[in-house]
Amino acid sequence: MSRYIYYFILVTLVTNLIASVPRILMRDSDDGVIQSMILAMFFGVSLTIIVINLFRYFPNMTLPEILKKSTSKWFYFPVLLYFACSWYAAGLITLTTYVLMFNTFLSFETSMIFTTLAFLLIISFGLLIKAKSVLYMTEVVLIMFLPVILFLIIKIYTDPKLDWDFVKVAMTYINVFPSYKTFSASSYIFIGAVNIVIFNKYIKIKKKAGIKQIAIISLMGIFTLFTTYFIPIGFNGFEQIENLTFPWITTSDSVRMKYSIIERVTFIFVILFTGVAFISLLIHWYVSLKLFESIFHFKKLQWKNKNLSSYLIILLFNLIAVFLPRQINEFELLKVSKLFYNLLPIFYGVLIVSLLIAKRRLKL
Amino acid sequence: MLTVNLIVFKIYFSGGVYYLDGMVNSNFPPLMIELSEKFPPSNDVCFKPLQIEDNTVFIFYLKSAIDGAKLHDMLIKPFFEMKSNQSFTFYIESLPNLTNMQYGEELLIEITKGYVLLAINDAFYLIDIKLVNSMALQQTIIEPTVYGPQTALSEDIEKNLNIIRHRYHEPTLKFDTHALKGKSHKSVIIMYDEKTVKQSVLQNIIEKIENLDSPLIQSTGELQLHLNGSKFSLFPITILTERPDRISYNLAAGKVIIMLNGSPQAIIAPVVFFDFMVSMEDNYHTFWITTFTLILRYIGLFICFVLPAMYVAITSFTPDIPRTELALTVAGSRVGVPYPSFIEVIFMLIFMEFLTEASIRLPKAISATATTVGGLILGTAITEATLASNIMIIIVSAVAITSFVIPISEMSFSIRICRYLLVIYTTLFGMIGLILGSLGLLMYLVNKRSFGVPYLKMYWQGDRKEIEVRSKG
Amino acid sequence: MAYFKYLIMLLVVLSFLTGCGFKDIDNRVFVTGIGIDPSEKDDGKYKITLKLAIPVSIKEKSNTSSSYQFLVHEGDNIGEIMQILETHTDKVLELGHAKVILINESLLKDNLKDFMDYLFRRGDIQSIAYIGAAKESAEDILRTLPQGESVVASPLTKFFGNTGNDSPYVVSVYLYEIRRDFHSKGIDAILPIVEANKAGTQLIVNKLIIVGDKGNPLELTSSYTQAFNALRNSAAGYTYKLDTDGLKLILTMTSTKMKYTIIKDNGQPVSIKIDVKMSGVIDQSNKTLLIDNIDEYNKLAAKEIKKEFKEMFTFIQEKDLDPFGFGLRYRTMQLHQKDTFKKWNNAYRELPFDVTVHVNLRNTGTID
Repeated sequence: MSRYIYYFILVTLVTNLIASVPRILMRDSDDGVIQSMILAMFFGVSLTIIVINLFRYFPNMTLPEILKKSTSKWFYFPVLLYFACSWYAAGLITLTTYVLMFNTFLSFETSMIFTTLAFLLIISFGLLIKAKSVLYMTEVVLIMFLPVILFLIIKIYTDPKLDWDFVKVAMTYINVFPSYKTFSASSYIFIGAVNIVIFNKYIKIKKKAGIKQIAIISLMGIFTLFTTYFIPIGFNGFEQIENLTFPWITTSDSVRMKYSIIERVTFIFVILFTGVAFISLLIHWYVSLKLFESIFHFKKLQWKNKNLSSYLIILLFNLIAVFLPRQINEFELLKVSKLFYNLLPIFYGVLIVSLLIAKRRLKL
Repeated sequence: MLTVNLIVFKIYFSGGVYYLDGMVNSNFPPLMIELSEKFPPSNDVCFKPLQIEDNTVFIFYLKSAIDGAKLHDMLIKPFFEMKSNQSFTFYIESLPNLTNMQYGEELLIEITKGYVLLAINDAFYLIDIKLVNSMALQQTIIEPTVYGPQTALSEDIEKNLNIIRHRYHEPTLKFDTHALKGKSHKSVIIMYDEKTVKQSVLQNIIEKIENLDSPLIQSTGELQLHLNGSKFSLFPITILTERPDRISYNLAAGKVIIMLNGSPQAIIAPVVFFDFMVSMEDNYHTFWITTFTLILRYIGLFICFVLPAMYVAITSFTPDIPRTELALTVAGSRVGVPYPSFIEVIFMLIFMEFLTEASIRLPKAISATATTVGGLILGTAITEATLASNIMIIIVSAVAITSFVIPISEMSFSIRICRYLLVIYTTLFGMIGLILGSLGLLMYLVNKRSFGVPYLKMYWQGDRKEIEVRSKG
Repeated sequence: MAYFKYLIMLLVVLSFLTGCGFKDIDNRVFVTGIGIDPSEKDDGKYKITLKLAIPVSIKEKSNTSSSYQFLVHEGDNIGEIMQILETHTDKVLELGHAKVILINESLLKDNLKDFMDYLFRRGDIQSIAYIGAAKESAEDILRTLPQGESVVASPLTKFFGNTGNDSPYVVSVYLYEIRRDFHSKGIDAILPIVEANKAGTQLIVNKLIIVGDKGNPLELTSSYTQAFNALRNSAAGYTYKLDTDGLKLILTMTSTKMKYTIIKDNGQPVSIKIDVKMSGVIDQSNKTLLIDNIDEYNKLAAKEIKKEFKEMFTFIQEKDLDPFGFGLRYRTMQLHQKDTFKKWNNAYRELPFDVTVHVNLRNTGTID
């Protein structure tokens, strides 16, 4: 269990702390969220451990290599295509959510295209870097940003105006049966570890993921889910919470740092989380790029001894990302996110099944 | 019976070579005659026979390259004290300055380097009797410290090797010589400690040096540029240093030192980003003081890079960010400034760059005047004329001062340039441009490789596998 | 590096784009206060006052007094009025620094919901803006400029949030708090009342108003306000005048802590048990005090204060208002069922209060 896997999980946890997941949870706040969260935690942690342990059978091999070696083209081509599109969609949803959030709260006159362009320029440069650099970048950014984020979250927890009575009221709804969409949205935050499909080549997994790792991941998950769902209720009341479009930003707006230069905590929040979201976007699109490259490799596109297929794919990514925010509005974004999260178990299923098939075929 | 041949010398000057005419003419070795024709006419080519009784030897050298006194002590005097050519040959063969005989082009080059060609009967010998006048040890000018050794490397490579040997007493210290192609004909010496060096890095460096094909490299500064790998790079991947104690620390940590004859700075490769923020002073102070100064430098680096862009982002895009009192103060200070904030920022930064650049070249007589003029113009007059706001002046001076907190000046220059790029990106996109621009720079640094070693990476002390080079030294 | 060339080329191309949203700070004007009044001319309309802060250049030392500009307009609903107000000035209105929102008392009955909707829906008004009820006219109060006020901080903001004034009579309410309490079942919203003196040179804040879902808002007297603040927000400095048996004492409580539970019986709420612990000092006395009798003074104080608190609780309860959140506490005590809150609603009016007060007087000041 290398520390980079923990970083992947952390990045996904932190990014989705304030993105679309809390919004989906809040809308069904009287519909059995708590049971879904508990179930999702078990589901998410166990699947993470299964995936990591399966990859231990294929040291230093990426998923395309594993599948190409053990299965035939008519199997791995659609599977890899599905994965590549899923990863791209995940990144795109994160990007659109954060751009929307930025435009609503920080700069109101900027058009969506501009903010998206700001992201895309840097991301396109980022997709061309070496794979190990992505890992180092994740480490550096997390180490710089995570302490500040923790400090802010602790500050929010200890605010005297946080009324725990509201939280307790929310907890009294524990006896309602879970609903599928909250379950899938909550389990999405554990999905960070599947980025190992490409980065397995550069990470050394020394030991099996055992009890200690399960405990650590579960603790992180519990803390994140609790914070994501309950804290906004403490600040915004239980009844109104379903009407907030970005519950966490409004929550952070309610905390006041009396003695600092920046009085509204919202800004620091948005800045920090945009930084971590950038890393998440980089990782997702990097995996997607590598998956696409493994199936679409045009040998004819050569220019000065350099293969241009990766540039073409990056250009495609950018074009889609530029056109999409124009068409989509916030409501559709929510629907698309819900749909994406609902398809999550299929994603896990395909991944585990293909790994098991490969394991049997290669007689490991 | 000693008979001294009194030869009537008919000395004639032909293209600066003194030909000794007469009976010895026929005995001149043909190689030397050939050499004397190859060298263009110059005042300092010397081609003489030394003759006593029947023993004749011929010497060929460039007068301006050799040490006359040493030549006399080592060759001429003993020759005249020896009994025969045979014993003189034995004597010559036991000299420590004797080097391998070269032929053709290399022979010419060796003679220009201060070697003396000696012909005894039919054997030729090359003896190193060079005199390098720039051999004095200098004081540390670029990296001064309060404690620690104060002498720097000299310009002669032999002296430098001597200094290093005396500082680093490890038997595994190895010197490798490589010759540069092209007109410079200099030899590059690569130093490393065989026990601690990383082999792949060493191979990488040697390969790069062998593949250099530029015409003239005069100093390690130029060599460093050519080693960089690509023409358009912004951050240096080697450090130039003149301090022998820094060199010994780096050798112990497993780095490779490259030295060039004629240059008082040595190249340390590979380096990582954190090496640029460490100065030799840190070794002489206690732990807390060192930590404090290190944190101070990083904060200075951050301020130097981000502050002008943050000013643009806050004044022109989201003035809601700071608290109300601060926002109103900033707004108040901008009253009357006739152009938008980013022009103000770039204008003041460029003015500060002029000041910094000019102060490097100021002669001592004018320096006081120039600083007063600069300070007055920058500080008072510009704000009085409301060409810039007060806060802008504070920001620009803070930025100028913090850019010198970085111990190695190349990194400071690189950050200065990146600052402008960040200001431009922030002007286009606002606050998010600031965050993403900084992350973009971080990504560029993380992606850089210095001879195979990652440039910016969290090196944990406990993880032995990953830590090939210690971040200190 | 190919990447670098690519980035530079792109930047050159981008420089032809104009930065969107780029507006210098001299083209923005900061709104530091919003006031909402009923319209003077027509019924059912509103009048909005905006207090703009004009930045004063530091160089002009001659002008030390603050400079504000006031924009007033009337209209049908807030959104419309704000749009028109934006045309009254040559700069963009920046609402990000609006720290004080004053609503006229008479508008609190039915319209609070609409106001909150507008103020909250816009992302740029801070949720930590202080909200208050204006006694006579919000516009007059905004226009009151006490002496010694600097441009960078208006006096209204300094009243709240323990920034400048930390008297226990002043209750600070944030925008998000009022929204939370107003919409929640089981707790009612409160606002401080801001008034100006006759001459219009001073601002006075020492009363409270409670707004419920239905019915009229209830105004509390200063002493009840003080008691409420001490109990709910643990404000320091609660003063009480003790007057028994010829002994007149003035006590100042440095700390007050309230704990309460709802006693249930068979699923029905039966009574509310409140436990208050206070500790403080004696500020003034008309007789010399003996340090041995501190216990006696404690007991006396506890008895009197308990009477006062009980009066306050009953006073609020009669109007069916619940600013403390007793209903909310009741909801937390059992798992959710459909009619939990209805039960509470029916029972609240009659519930007896069981108050116990412990007073701990630490010392008698510097003299006995």
